[in-house]
Amino acid sequence: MANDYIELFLKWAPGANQADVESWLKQHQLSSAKMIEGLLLSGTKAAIENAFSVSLDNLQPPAELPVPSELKPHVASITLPKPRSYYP
Amino acid sequence: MMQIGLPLETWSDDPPPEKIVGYISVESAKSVFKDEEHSLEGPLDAYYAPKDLRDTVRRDLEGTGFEILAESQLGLSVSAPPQAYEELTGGSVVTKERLQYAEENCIRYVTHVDIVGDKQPAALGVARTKSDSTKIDGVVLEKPRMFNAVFPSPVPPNTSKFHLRVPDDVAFLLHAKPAHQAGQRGKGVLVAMPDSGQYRHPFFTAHGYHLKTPITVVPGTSRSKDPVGHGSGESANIFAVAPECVLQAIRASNDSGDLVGAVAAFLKAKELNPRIITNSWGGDGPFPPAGSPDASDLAFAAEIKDAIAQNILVIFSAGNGQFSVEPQVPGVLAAGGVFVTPSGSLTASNYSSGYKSPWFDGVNVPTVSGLVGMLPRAQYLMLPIPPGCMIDKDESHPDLPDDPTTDGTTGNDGWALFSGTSAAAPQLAGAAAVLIGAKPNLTPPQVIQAMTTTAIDVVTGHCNPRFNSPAGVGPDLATGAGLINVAAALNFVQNNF
Repeated sequence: MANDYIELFLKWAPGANQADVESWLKQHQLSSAKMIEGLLLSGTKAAIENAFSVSLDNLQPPAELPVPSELKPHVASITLPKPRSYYP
Repeated sequence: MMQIGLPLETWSDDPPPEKIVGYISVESAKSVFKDEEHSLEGPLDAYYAPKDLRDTVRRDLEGTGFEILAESQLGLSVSAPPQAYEELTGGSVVTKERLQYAEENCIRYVTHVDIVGDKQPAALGVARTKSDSTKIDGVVLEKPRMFNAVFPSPVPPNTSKFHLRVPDDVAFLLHAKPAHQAGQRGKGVLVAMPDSGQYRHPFFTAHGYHLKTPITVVPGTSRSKDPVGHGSGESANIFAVAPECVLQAIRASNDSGDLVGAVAAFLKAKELNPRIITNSWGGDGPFPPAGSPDASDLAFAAEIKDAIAQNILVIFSAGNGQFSVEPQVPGVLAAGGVFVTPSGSLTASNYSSGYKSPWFDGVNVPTVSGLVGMLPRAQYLMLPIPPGCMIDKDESHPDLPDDPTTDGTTGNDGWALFSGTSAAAPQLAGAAAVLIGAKPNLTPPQVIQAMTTTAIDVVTGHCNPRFNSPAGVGPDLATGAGLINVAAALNFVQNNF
């Protein structure tokens, strides 16, 4: 995973059942960390493509990923952020 | 050794290496591993192992994952993964930190590998096999041995290109020396730095700087490695200004050096509740932007504001021509650049970004500036990095067609000339640590007020051509309030807060 790690932002929908979402993420080999407005998701490229049925190669960040039907009641958006780099 | 009040030996945070070099002593008439024979008295022949026994042991070892590196009449030098040693001995391979003399007569903790278990001897790095049938009377793991010359050198190399050195030139030009002489060196102030990683360069050891064991957030990466050299080098700027602060480096890079875990590293930094988080990175986007910040920018901006609300001073580099949300978040200390010429005059760095935020009312980037070089490459500060890392190689080569020159160092010497607003952010972090060390109850807005009120106004030059903001009398978009003046800022907080 050391060369294949990707971060995503998940924003909660109003009244989200957060435990259900975290359980779904775990089932799909994705890690999560709490943020102010949602979760920071991370995982391998393959795990993310599998979980959200997308090809990341076809996306130009920042890009919204499709929210799977199981998560739709709980999740407002899932976003692939712009890449960040050093400023030397 | 114990007189300095530290334990001789502690457990290590480092995992065992993938391969361990060791020595296998084959059974003979006498053995140094038996308690009653801790000497080499008598003829040496008694310690020689019969050839047929050595052959048997060699074959057995090769069949259980050991590579034979060399052989003598007494035993075999071998290399194997930790699991092979555990299978042979029945013990567990662990790492320990032993306090010992290391480089330049410096006493520091050095990582040793040991095998522990119920039947294992107490001596560090020495083990017994679990069965007598192995015909092995002892296993010794290689101890770390020091070169008589230190590599990489803790002293920067000479190069003809005009440059500044850490710590002295940076401390002098930012007026940190009077603060140090007054006893204000940022003692104990925790600074977190999400970046590419932190290599324990002898420069840091020689100066006695306090680096906590680095943390990594990208699974599968080593916390002791920095493939780029960016975090290691730029962190020297913090200590140049605050030599007694405490640095917690958080590695956010993958093994290719890409900054893939920046947000996770920032969240980890917040968890540690430091006084300062310094960030020498960011994104880039069109300027002027087409619309509002995107959802991911706003999600991260909320995290930054939350850190500030927790009384953490958050510093972001303004960018080297980039336009990004992080330095624009209200309450962030945005670090720009000032270039001090060989004759000592000050001018805005044309490498640094400078603009009025189109997203947040009343926010200008940068807030205030540190020392940054000029286009094309800002090769300005001689900084310590891992030998042979990306920056070590890149800066020692021309960058055609923009820059046919090099930094004058080699690609594997552990030093390079670079800077950018990546250097300014940790310089400001060091300055903040000095102020907070002197006045622990300071809030982030008070620190920013002290730095901006006392900064040296820079009235010539322009920032990066992408924005082309001119410097002028008073605050401007080229350098913000100007170049920080640590001694004056310290005086300000002592008199006003």
